[in-house]
Formats: sequence, C-alpha cells, structure tokens
Amino acid sequence: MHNGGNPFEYDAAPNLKPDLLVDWFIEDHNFSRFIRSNRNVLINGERGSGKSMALIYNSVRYQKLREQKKGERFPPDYAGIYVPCNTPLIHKQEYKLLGEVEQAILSEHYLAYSIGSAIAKEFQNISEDFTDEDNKQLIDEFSYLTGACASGEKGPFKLLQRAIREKILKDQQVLARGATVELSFDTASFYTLIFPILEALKNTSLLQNTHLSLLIDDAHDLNMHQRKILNSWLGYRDHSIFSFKVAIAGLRNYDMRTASGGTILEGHDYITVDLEQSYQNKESEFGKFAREVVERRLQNVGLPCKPEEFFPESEPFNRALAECNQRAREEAIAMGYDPNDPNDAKAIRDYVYKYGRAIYFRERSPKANRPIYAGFDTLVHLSTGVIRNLLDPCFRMYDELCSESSDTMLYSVPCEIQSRIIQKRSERLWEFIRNNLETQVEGCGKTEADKLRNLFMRLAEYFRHRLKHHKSEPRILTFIISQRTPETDSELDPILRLAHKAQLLYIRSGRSKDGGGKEDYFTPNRMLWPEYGLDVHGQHGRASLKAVDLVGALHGNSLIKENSAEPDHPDLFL
Amino acid sequence: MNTRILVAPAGWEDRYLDGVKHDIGEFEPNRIVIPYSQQYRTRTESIREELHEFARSQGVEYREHQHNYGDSAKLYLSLYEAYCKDIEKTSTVRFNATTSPRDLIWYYLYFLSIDTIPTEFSYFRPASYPDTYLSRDARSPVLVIKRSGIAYPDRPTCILALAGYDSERLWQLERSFEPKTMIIGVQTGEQLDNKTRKISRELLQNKGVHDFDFDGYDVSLRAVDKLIDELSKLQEPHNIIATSLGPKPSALTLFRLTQRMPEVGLTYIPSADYSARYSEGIDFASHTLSKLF
Repeated sequence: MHNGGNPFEYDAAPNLKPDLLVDWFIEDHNFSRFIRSNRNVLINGERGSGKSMALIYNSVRYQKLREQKKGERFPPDYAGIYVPCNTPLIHKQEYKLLGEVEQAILSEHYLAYSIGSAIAKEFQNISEDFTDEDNKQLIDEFSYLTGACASGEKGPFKLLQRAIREKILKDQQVLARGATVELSFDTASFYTLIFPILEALKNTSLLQNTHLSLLIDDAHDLNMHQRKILNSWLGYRDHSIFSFKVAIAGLRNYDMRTASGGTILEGHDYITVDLEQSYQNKESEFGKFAREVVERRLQNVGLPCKPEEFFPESEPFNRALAECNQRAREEAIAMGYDPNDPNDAKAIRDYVYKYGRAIYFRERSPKANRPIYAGFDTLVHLSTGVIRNLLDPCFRMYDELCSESSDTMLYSVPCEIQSRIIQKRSERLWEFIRNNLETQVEGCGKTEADKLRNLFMRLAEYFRHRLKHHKSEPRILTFIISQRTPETDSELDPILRLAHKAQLLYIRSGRSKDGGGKEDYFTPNRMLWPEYGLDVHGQHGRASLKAVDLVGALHGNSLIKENSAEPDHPDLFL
Repeated sequence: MNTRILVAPAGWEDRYLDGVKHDIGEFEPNRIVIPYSQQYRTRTESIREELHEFARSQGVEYREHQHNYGDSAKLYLSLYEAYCKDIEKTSTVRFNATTSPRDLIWYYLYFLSIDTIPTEFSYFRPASYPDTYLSRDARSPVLVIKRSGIAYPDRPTCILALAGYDSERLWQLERSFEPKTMIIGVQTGEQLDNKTRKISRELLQNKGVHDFDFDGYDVSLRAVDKLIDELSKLQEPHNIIATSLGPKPSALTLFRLTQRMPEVGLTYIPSADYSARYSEGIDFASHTLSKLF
C-alpha cells in the first residue's frame, strides 16, 4: 500500500527533509570510506550524481539524526561540517569594484564566514552533547574570536551564529552604501577565524577523538579568488585536526592553482573520487547502487517489492526477444560453434549477447510502433549512470500511476505507463535540443546551438545505422575520439563542453584500448534514444570516431561511412 | 540652475528613436545622455547619429558614452564615471528605459537615488513583436552590484521572479541558484502570445514553487505592496533574490522593492545575442511614466 508522497522525489539534497534523506541514502562503502578518511578528497560528479546528498549525510546534524533513528555511534570518528557554496553570499559581485589584492581579501572573508556559519549551524543541534566545561571554553574562544559579548547566550554555537550574522549584516550594509566600495571593516581568513574554531572544537572532551571534515559543496560556484584560496588550504598537509572533502561538478576543467601561484597535486595534496562512472550492466557498481536506491525508497513507502517487480518488463517484448536470442543462437551454431563444447558454449553466449537484441531492433517493421521501453533494467540504462536521471522518470511514472489508479494498493507500474513516460521524456529532450539550447544553456549562442543540434542528429543516425548494420558491435552507444589534432580540438572541445554542461553528453575516463593510459569516453544521454527507436541497453565497448568526422558532424555531415555494407534507413521508427 | 537631463541608453528598435524624440518634446531637456554598448555600437550608430542631429535641431546638448555591457563590474564603474560628469546635483532627470538592459537601469537608478535626484522613469511599448527570438546565448545569472541584498550563509534561497514573457529563463535561474522556494509573478493578460502560464504550470509541478498574477506594466506603488505581500507569506527566513524577466517596467518595481526591503537582492541574466528585430513600431498610447524620487 502506498503511503502518500512520491518515493522517487529527487529535489536538490539540501531541500530534502532530513528524515527522508537519512531514510533514502544508500551507503556506498567505497565512497563513504573516502569521505570518512582524514585525507583531502575532491569528489567529481555531474549534477544529480549524488555529491550533495553524500556530503550532507555525513554532516554532524545528520550523524546525530542517524544516532536517534538508527542507533549509530555519536560522536563519530569523523564529524562533517557541510558548507554549501551555491549561496547568494558567495555569488556577490561587489568585490570586483576593488583592487586585485582586496578582491582576494573580501572573497576569503565571505568564504571564511560561510564556513564559520556552517560550523555554528552544524553544532547548534548537538550543543547539549558538550559538557558544561566544554561549552564554557568554547564560549570563551568564540567571544575572543568574534568580539561578541558572551552574556545571556544559549550556548557557544548560538553565540557564534549570532556574531557571524551580525558581522555579515554590517559588512554587507557597508558595502552596499555609496557608489564605491572600500574595505573599511576587519576581515576574517581561514587562519584567523576557522582554524582557531576547529582547534577549539577539537579540544573539547566530546570531539577530542573526532576528525573534523569540512564538506565543501559546489566548489565550482566559488569565485576565482575563493577557488585559489581553497586550493591553498588543500595544500595544508597537517590533517591531525581537519581535512577537506570538496564536491565539484566538472573537475576536469577546475583550476588547481593556489593563491600563491602554485598548483595542488593529486596524490600529494588530495585524492579524487570520481562519481562519473559508466554503467553497462546490473553487476556494475552503479547498477547495484541504483537497485539499492529504488529498493530502499519503495520499502519506505510500504512497498517491500523488488525494483523489477515494481517496474516490470514487457511480456510481449520479452517473448519477442527470447525468439531473437534463439535465432542468434541458431546462427552461431550454423556458423560452426558446437553447443556441447564448453569453449564454444561461451562463444555462443557472447554471440547471443551481441546480436539477440540487435536482431529484435533490426527486424522490426518500419511501420511498427516504437518498441516498448519498460523494466527496471531499462530505466537504469536510460539513466546513463546518473542517479537523478533514474529518479526523474520513476517519479513521473509513480505520479501517473497514482493519478490513474483509484486503488490505494500500488503493486507495480504497468508497462504502458512506463513506456509512455519514457517516450515523453525522450521527446522532451529532443525538443530541448531543437528549441531551447540558446536560451537555456549558458554560453550557447546560435552558432553553438546549431552545431550541437547537428552533432546529436548525426550521432543518432550513426548509432541507428550501426544497430542495423554493424557486424560485431551493433548496440554500442559510447564513442571515443581518434586522430585528434589541435585544430579539431579547438572546434570540438567547446561544443563537447556545452553538451556536457547541458547533460546531453557524459564524459568519463576509462582505460585506453591500446593500453596507453586513460582516455575519455563520450556517452550521449541515453534518454535521447527511445525517440529514435534505439536499444537503450547498449553493449560493452565504444565506437571510435575520427575527430575530423565529428567536426564534419557539427556542420551537418553524416558520420556514416559511404562504404558501409548496407544503406541507412533514416525513416526507421520515426 | 536646474538642468533637465534625459538619459536614454541606446537601442536599435523603432520605439527607441521615436520614444526618445517623444521624451525630448515632452520633457524638454537641456541635455540628453546616451550610454551605448560597445558590443552593439555598429547596430546603434545610425540611430545615435540621427538622435544627435535631432538634439542639435532642438537646441539640446548631446552626450554619448560607450560602455562594456558584457562585464557587469566594468559597466558599473564606467557608467558611474560618466554619471559623475553628466549629472549635476541640482538636475532633474528623465530615464528612458525602453530598450535598456536591466542591470544598467538598476545601476543608474541607484546612482540617482544616492544623490536624491528628482527622476522620472519613462518606457514605451512596441506596436508588436516579430515572430522570432528576442534574445539568446544566455550567460550565468549575476547578482547586481550594490543591489545584491543581505545574504546569510545559513539561510535557504528564495527566487522571486516576475516572469513576463521570457519565462524560459526561469529554468536557468532554478538551475543556477537551486532555490528552496520560487515565487513566480505570472504576467496577466494574453498580450504577445503569452506563454508564461504554460511554463509556469510545469514549474509548479515541483515542490516549493508558488505563483501569483502580476502585471509587469503596473508601476504603481501597489505593485510593490503586492510583492511585499507575497514575500511575507514565506514560512521561514530566506535569502531573497528577485529578478525581472518580463515587461521592463517591472525592473522599476523591483528597484522600489529593494528600496523598501534592502535585504532583497536583484539578479540579472545577461544575453550575448539580442535580436536585431526585437520589436516593431511604438505604442504611444501605453507610455509608462512614473516619478521615482
């Protein structure tokens, strides 16, 4: 029975109710291990990959909530302080009216006070856990640091919070006055404000054995000076008291320079956790994670069923697919593989994996309706490895199920609803490509939008042609770029960056085929493909596309080779 | 001597030239000041020349200044430098905002407010909008210098958006600021194939979005009261960021709102590409004229 509320809510993590966040969060042991280490960690992940949720879940307020709800130990070995950077205070521009040095001072001032405010907010809820002696010491220290009067306060963190608010209010009022900007007030820095606060916390009996983690979320929203300052802090290698965990969307383009002109280095100053992982099957890390997320959310609304039961596959589709798999198997046997030979049996399985689904999609009549897209596995493939992309269609399916059903007992989402929502989301993504790039993607002008449109149209045609005709890897939906030159890069890179920003394209690093280190894999958002009738499940492997051909695609040229064995059928499924 | 100054940031639409000529006839300035965009200087060149000639024929002093509209801080600084030269403390000013970028409007009104210069706000609607894009290549929203409000790092963000007709930008604002709450003033009326309601309804599917009817052309103090009333419904303290995406006069209303509520910040979404055919004709009958200070 469903218990009100949509279990697939996917609002930004800071806006979720704490109880829901604690109930929904899935602990990924590898990832959590990094967050709970005393090293500096940079967490890379695109929007919706769960960075914020992981940081918030590991913050003190939520650690306390977990103690209350789940009986987890408190204080923990590692206490997190969640510091959001996407705030109006961080976005303020008045600093630009100052000289270069003062710009950096004011920028650090705001960042330091943002962290100070976060500390006050985190520990406010657990002030009762500190002893009277701890509280007295903290009040003394915070009064000294902020100049605030300690009388009549309800604890050290209230004092700190109020002192910071008063200071921030006055400073902003000063900066808002008159036509010019002058730094006529005392400014704070990490070393004059935050470091002493962290030391004072560490000296309390409550936190003496606890490592403090500053969980900096959305660091890409910091201004140029603040990024450099944060990088300088990351270069501070004594982690006996605190360390940083910094979440960034787009680490590959993040400036690693410090305020003094140096550069922080991976391995020495920080380690990286990359949430941008490709998804290929349900055994992969993301596949397991996705299953746990959906299972947990269903359980929390009183639906203790498996994700596959709640999002069932289409029976007619499965029957047709079984027939195609059987045909693929027969083809393999006809080619000479012996099903009774254990070595050949694997080859037959591989052949069926490669061609079974391809046969189904190849041999559908051009006049047939689009394939039924349904099933939990299909939803996970459609997510392209981003958890918010998984929750979005689930949310809409659940919503539609509730509005269509008068029954309070919701056992599963019918395939028709699943397929309808998936088709709508796919149409909407193409609609976005056709009409909204210029107005909704920052930095995307008409020229760039035209190139993006051309690129995705040509990629769609290319993957469709490949599905129909390719001999060995027909269902591939990922590509790498070969034969890059500075000339092709200068034209391709800005467009690929925009596609990445618009979440039309996911760029991940993987091992190079030739064994020569890592290379970038490019996976278009798989939600694009139902509109083209493609198989969203894809297969292992990636297509190698020449940079010069991709540049041609930006200008509308086909990516399909002229010497292809069979002609393309551009009207298929459209 | 009380100098009467008409400030009219340059545009290239029909309504700009006709509107400025109308203001010259009606306001009878001693001087006109034309800030213009370095990026669009070619597009406004012939219009500025014509205006210069017209001013000379009317015996009005003509001044123009080039500014970098693409950089908000540089615009602020150069605009203020020019303002100090152009506007005497004893002036009376009419500000023609018809085709001005919103950040420029807010900066200029702010300078005038500091010196408490008696100021009128003037705006002309077009006769029609062509069936083409109005602006594109949107950049990241920026907080307006000196009108960025009071922000506390431990408070959630609320966006107050007067949506008007350019409501696609709502999505961009939501994406940039990730607010906990959005309050959307939906443009009343069906003018110009108003698409706002459709998009607003879609946004309303999300939690934390509230809308209310609002006429962006209403520059009365009642419009400010209405916004204050909507903000008073917030259940908890927020950092409030307001923006005007619709009819230009709503920028005036938001400026007035920040005068009444200095804690409210203003934001602006720059575009790198404005249509050369942004509008056609001028509708003199709906001339907006409002006293500020």
